[in-house]
Amino acid sequence: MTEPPPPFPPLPRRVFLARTGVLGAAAGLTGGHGRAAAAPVPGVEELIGLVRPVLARLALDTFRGLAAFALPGDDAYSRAQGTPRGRAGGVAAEAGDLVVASLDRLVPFPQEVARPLTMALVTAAADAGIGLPRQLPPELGRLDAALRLLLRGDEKIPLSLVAAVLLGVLAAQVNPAAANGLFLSPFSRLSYRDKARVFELLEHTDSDLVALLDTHLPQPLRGSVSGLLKYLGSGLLSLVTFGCFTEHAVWDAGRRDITALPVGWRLTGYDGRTDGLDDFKGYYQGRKEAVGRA
Amino acid sequence: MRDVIVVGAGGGGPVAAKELAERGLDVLLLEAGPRHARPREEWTHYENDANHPLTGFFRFGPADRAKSAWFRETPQSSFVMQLSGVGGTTQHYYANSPRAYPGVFSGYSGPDAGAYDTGHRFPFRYAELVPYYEWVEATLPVRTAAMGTKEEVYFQGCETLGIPVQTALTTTGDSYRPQQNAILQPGGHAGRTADPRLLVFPRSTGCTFCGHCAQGCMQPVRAPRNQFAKRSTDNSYVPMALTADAWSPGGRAAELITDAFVTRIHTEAGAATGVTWRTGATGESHREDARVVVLSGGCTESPRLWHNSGLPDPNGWVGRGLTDHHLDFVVGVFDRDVGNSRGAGSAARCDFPGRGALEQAGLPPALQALVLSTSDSGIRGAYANGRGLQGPWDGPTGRVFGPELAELMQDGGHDRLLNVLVFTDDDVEPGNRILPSAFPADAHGPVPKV
Repeated sequence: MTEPPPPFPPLPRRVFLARTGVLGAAAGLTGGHGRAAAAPVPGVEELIGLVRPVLARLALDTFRGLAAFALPGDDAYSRAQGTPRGRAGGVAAEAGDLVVASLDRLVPFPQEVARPLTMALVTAAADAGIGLPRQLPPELGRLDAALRLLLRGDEKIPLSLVAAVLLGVLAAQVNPAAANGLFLSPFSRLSYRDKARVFELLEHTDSDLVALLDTHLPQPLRGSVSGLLKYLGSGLLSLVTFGCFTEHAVWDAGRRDITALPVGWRLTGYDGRTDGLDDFKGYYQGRKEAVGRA
Repeated sequence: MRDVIVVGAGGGGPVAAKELAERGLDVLLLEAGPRHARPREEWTHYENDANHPLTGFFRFGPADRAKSAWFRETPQSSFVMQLSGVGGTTQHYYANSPRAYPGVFSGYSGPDAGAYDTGHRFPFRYAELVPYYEWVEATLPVRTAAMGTKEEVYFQGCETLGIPVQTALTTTGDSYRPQQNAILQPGGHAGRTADPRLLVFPRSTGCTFCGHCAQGCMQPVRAPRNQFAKRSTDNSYVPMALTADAWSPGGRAAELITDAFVTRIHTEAGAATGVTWRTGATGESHREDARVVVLSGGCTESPRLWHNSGLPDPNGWVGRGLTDHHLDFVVGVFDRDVGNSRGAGSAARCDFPGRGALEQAGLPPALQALVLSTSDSGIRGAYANGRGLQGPWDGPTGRVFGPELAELMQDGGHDRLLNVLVFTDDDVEPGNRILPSAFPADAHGPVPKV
């Protein structure tokens, strides 16, 4: 009896970093190889300071792509995935922004787990022989080192980065052509169908990815990645869809009120501000109480 | 030395606190989360403000919303919809208050006795519990729910299917009926108008059909707290416990301390002697002793506290047999408005004793979208996780997502949806459990793994 073929090709580790979007982020940082070659070599701290916002943009770009996936609209992300609509959708509702803010500031996710996971993804880039130091000009050649420093430093690791890199890895696995393109995020370059395949892999906890991450987790957590990925995959889909229909993009925290009608309200016609509605239809068969023990 | 310390001011703790304070005992009620003492100043009807699972005023986390929610390890596709704060999960619940089926109790000998979880019957008879049901049903109070549009549609379906109607409190066979809800039913203009000038207490009393059960009940406007329509414990038992000296001869007002996360139960010679709690705002620890400690921290935190306190577990069952009311939704699409977002959250149900229940459930759009995007069966039309069940419905089971979600929800679509909430598989399973997680501990000790 032979093993069935894997549903997707195994992760090509040599292009790991490029496919996670880090290479694209670096190009955005420097304006391209040629210009970067003439620039002075920045210090490590400076480089970290330059890299961090680029990676933040990568994460935001990923989750805007996710927002379009949940509720397509009249935005570039929806067009890129091949499902444009004539009305505002999840991107306009800023559902991706909500996911990033939620993951980075308010997910109660222990750094003791987030950090090894992130390190696993970054060291995998080096292990995979991406060879950034050999292939890129000097300051970009230090991008890998800067990423390592960022992730090994004392600062809290943004969980949105962990999640975005995970989606980027899977995006490259689903469609290698996603490594380069219009957006910073490989995930956002995918078609709607391929985005679904990313989540299929995430929910199936693809063994190659699990093995990659699992070896970097300390005991006694080793082996627990499978459940974690299922939780993450399911949670991202639920949270971003919730965000597509809420008021957060037009929320005035000071007044505790909205400044305009939310995208989701305009789409559905809902208005949730009321303290009462005229929908009382009486009592079923006229009974106002249940009586007796049987 | 207190007479009693009650750990947790959610669905259960305040009931004990009220009953004991009413009888003059010195009761300390401890709650890890916040108390929303002024809902009109603290709550809104907006779904992200209220229900964002990590940042909403209804979440499982500390009073300070700038701080992270509390972590529980859930190593599967799941989410525990618990709330911290006075009222606990009753703050966002739909106030459904059915009695348990007699078949789940000891001594039941009906013809369907074998249909229940016979290995784990309650160790007393249904009749023994009835007086307690009656007392709670009178105190909250529990009332037969009025209908809105969605209930009319639901009942038409039940009639069409030929299911028997139930008119009594006790469920003895397959049946449908209006919910028995812990909700003051509409009086005056309530439910009969959307005019804010009329939706004011006492011109309106009870449920105003606003559709915001899940965002916390503060209706009608200007009603005193103990006259809010939904009888979550923060609107019912907690006010009674805190004012027991005023209404009960010999009563003594219970003391409530919030932002107080109990981290240890102390024992001596096999008996509880007190607790230690941590104040979230300051990180300080406090200890008080009591003759009795009532543990009512909820289905994840109670076993966690038990484990973290090193209390005995002689048969290994502490935290096991979690019957978490795992739910699923069947969503019907109508060609007309069925009032999904209006009225009480759930006012109609079917029961199939021994198997489960099917509840009507109304939702505002963001929670509706969340429900539609939550499934173990993948994304409809894309992948199915090995499931994607086929049945008397259109297409496979799974998440409604992307273009299909947009088309379903747009232009009043959310109010053309009728949700049937499926509760089944509530038998006791030893493997469904809470145990200490291998994830790093938080400020309150090892976290629970669900």
